[in-house]
Amino acid sequence: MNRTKIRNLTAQTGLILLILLMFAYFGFNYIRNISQRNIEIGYGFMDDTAGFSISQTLIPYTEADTFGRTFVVGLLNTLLASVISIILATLLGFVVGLMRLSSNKLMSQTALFYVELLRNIPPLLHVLFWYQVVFLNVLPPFKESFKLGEWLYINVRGITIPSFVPQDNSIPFHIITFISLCAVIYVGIIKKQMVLRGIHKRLWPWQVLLVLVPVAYAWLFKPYSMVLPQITKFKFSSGMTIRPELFSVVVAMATYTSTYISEIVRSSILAVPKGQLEAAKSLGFPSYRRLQLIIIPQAMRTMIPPVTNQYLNIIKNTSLGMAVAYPDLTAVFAGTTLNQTGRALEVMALVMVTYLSISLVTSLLMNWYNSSIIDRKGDLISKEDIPVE
Amino acid sequence: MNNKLYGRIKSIRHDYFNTPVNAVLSLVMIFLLAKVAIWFVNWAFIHAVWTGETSEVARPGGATWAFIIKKFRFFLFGFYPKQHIWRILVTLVLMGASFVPYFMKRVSHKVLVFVAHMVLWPFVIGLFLAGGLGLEKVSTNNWGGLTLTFILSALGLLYSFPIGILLALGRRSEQRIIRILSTVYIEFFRGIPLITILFMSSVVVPFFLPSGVAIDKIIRVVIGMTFFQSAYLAEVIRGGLQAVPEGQYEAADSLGFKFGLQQYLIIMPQVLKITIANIGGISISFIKDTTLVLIIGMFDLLGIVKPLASDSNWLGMEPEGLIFAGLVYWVICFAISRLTYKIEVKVNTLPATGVKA
Amino acid sequence: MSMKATFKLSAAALIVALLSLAFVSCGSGDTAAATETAAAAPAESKASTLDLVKQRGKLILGVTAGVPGYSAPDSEGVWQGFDVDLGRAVAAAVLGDADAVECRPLSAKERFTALQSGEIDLLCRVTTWTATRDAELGVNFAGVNYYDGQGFMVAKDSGIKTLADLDGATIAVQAGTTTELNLSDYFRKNGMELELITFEANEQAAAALEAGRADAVTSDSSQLYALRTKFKEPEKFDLIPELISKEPLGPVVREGDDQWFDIVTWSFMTMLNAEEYGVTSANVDEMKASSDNPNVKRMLGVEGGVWEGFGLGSDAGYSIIKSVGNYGESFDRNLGSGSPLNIARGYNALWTDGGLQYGMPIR
Repeated sequence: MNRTKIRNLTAQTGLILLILLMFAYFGFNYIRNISQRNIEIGYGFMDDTAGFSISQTLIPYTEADTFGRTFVVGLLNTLLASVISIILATLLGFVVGLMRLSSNKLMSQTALFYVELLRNIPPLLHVLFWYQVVFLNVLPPFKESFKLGEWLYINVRGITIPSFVPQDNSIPFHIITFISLCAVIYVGIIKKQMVLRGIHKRLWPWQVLLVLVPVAYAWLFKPYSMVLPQITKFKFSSGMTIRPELFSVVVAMATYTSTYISEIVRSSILAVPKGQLEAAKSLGFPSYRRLQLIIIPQAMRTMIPPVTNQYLNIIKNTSLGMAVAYPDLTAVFAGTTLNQTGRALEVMALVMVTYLSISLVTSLLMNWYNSSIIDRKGDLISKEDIPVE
Repeated sequence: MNNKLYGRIKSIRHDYFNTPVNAVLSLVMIFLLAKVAIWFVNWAFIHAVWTGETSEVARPGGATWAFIIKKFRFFLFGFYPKQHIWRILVTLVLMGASFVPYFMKRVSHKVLVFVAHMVLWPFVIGLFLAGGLGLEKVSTNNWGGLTLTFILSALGLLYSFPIGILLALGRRSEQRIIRILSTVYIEFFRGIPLITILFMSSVVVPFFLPSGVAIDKIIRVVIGMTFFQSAYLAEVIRGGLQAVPEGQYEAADSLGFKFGLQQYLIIMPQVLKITIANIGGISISFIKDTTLVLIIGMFDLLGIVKPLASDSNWLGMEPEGLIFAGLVYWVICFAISRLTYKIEVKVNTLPATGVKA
Repeated sequence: MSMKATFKLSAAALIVALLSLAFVSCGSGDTAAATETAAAAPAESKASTLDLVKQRGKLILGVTAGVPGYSAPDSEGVWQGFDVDLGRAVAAAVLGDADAVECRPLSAKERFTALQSGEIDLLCRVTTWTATRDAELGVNFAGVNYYDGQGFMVAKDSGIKTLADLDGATIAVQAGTTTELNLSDYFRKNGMELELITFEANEQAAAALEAGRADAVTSDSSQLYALRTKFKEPEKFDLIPELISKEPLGPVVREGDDQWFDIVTWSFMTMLNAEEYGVTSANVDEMKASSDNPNVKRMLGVEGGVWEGFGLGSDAGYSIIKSVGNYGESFDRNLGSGSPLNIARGYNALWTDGGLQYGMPIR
């Protein structure tokens, strides 16, 4: 017994020493290489003027800003692409997953085809396909935009739609909308409780009425003014343009990841015991209620860990956007900034730590959500990234 | 005859038109699918051009497959010198032949075969592809196409396996330091995008080496990918380890097996069996991940599309190139997923006898 | 029992495998084997690049991933171009063999790291000489082999004729270059609006112009000419005559090895002087035998012993001219009238012809 202990201790100490030695060796080489070339070490450069511009910025940014700010701009672009991709991938994933379970064979076969076709193609190729083939090769040039009235313009420069500018009376509108949405959800919860107790009463007219309040307000008082896209010499001077770079990354990530999410959705629903479904049927619940009340809540339990992994994959995969000039964290900071400053280790370390933190925070959020909807007794070892077929 | 037809109509009605909603959905779907299919067949076959020397033969509304046919060698072998391509073929044959022992009944310890792969593959690749011992050297800059994709995938998978197993065991170890180190390693590499690792290997790693020592880019990439992949593999294996019933460990203990032997003879065979589907899935991911080397300037199957479409005779052929590359990736990945499924079915129908010694 | 033995054996084999992997990974890089000795040498005294190159028998040259005229592989896969010629000249001077050059294609991002870390001996990759690079990157510029300037390429039918027309335009550029900084500076200085799309490679930026994603692509004008040859319809695109920057492109070496710096500088000066004195690859043997010009005599090693001072053989200058030719020959062959680019000499004419290229005297 004692001998094993000593052996274990020596092994662990040895391992630590080995790792320390390795780090020391690399560190030593690094410092020697760097000092030989007269390169500074440290994050002082973050306060220097960047001097380059970035096409898509969520916060005000000019060339006169610092390298530190390029980091924030890149990070926000990464988050923007990630959030949109996650929402779209989840919606698509649910739709396709449910389609695969449809009793209509054509539906389920089409969904299967979609999954098998898109899943087996590398995500980078998805991104390049949307950018190189769809945008640069298929869509018309700026001057010959595909038009839908005055509302929608599609061309090689992106997709342009009207923008909505909030007016003075937009704040009450926001409040009314918020209250009415809360009320709609509340009525939904009441309805659910009633159904579970076997009370059948029509509540949806109330919900419709509640939705109509902000709509009516918007119609009467115009809290937003719509600005139609205006063509000038080079671009639209007004309206909102979704750039091809963002579009390609988001659509590629959403379609690619939705195949995985759909598989997770499908297998999770199939994992719900048959008896539950039959019980719900015999209680006379309509099919969408069965899904909403019995199947989805139970499927959620098995769904959340693997879906979290897919979300993390999306966040990491948006870095592929640099192949199509999408100015995300990797492209702006680990690309241009690294290049202008030459501080390879500092920049890469910061980028890696940032991605790690995003991943960690996402995991924590999803874990929190997970534990809030289920009793954590359940066996959740199925953390694999790839769903079992 | 009539009955059969009637049966078929009945089943179609049952499958597609059982309710009014389904009937409408089916009709809409059929319409949309038919539209897409007709367009695709027109583009890919009816209006397509199969022969020609330059992109001038291209027809609007049709694919120019002549580009793929003319450049086929480059898609397969990259810019590897033509007179040396036999060396790639020899390498592939040797690597393929090295799988034979796995299927030989007489070889009882397949692990040794695996270890032999780990030792011999780099030598075979180094000798035949890179050159040496009298063979003319071919710079790794010229490696490319499907060959490069294959080498990166094969070496990455080969080395991430043992490391992944060690990490999985380490994460479940009772020794705290080993457990912490393994966990940190796994979570670190799972938390960052592969592209940052490739950047590290191309712009930071050179600073970590003594001045004057340079490691070839391909080796740096393989090492970086191995680090990355082993972390994912470790999690798959760990899932399998958790699924092995406690009784198996106890039984092995009571037989007096030491840890290593216990893992080798009792636990790992079961783990591999349980995780076969996930290992297949993760292998597919690895193959898809190799495309990222294009961002650091290597010409793998996807990366080579751009330089081939910049040939002044074949300008503007990128869509065809990308779609062809996509097709090849699809075939490879789909084949692997079918294969793992078959293996899974086969393994699961066999009685669980463990390893015959 | 035999089982246990097998297990031990396989464990041992695993270790052997990992060790041999380590061995192979260090050994199979071409450069690694040759440079290992250099690493073993006392490191605080700067390893001499000259000795390293001589020992290896080969010069490792950092080049672009393929810019026609400057450095690009020909149909046989052999690297050719104006920048490659300079590397060949150095190899000829040092090793007596202009073909003893291995070209390493590098992205703009990788180039300085590759030089700093010793992966390459010399960087000839259309690299602009700037104060910041000299001061901060630990590198030295050993001359200017091409005086370039940043220009803009636009579609002819776009109506853009001058720089002022570009106000509000979408402009494509390669990431991480001085080009990107100049562009932003220029637009800011003139109060013009700009939308910038930053691509990883110049070819992608040019493709964005070709597809109409951008109104203009900007880069060094020499590269724009080269990029245009890759267009489907090159006649539809043209350069705006104005330039917005000075881009002196030149060879780059590691800081702290003065001998190597001198060798590169004077290999280049030799090509310039040769053109000035009318020495070409065709007449160099004749000149060596018969020229009375003391400058030519010193340059070709007939008298003076200049080259020995750099640690080279006395025929270093001769072998540069013999195997690569003079500056003018190299220019014509790769960029000028003898090439598809057909760029005029312009600033790159000799000073005697009103240009900026001025070979320091060989005395």
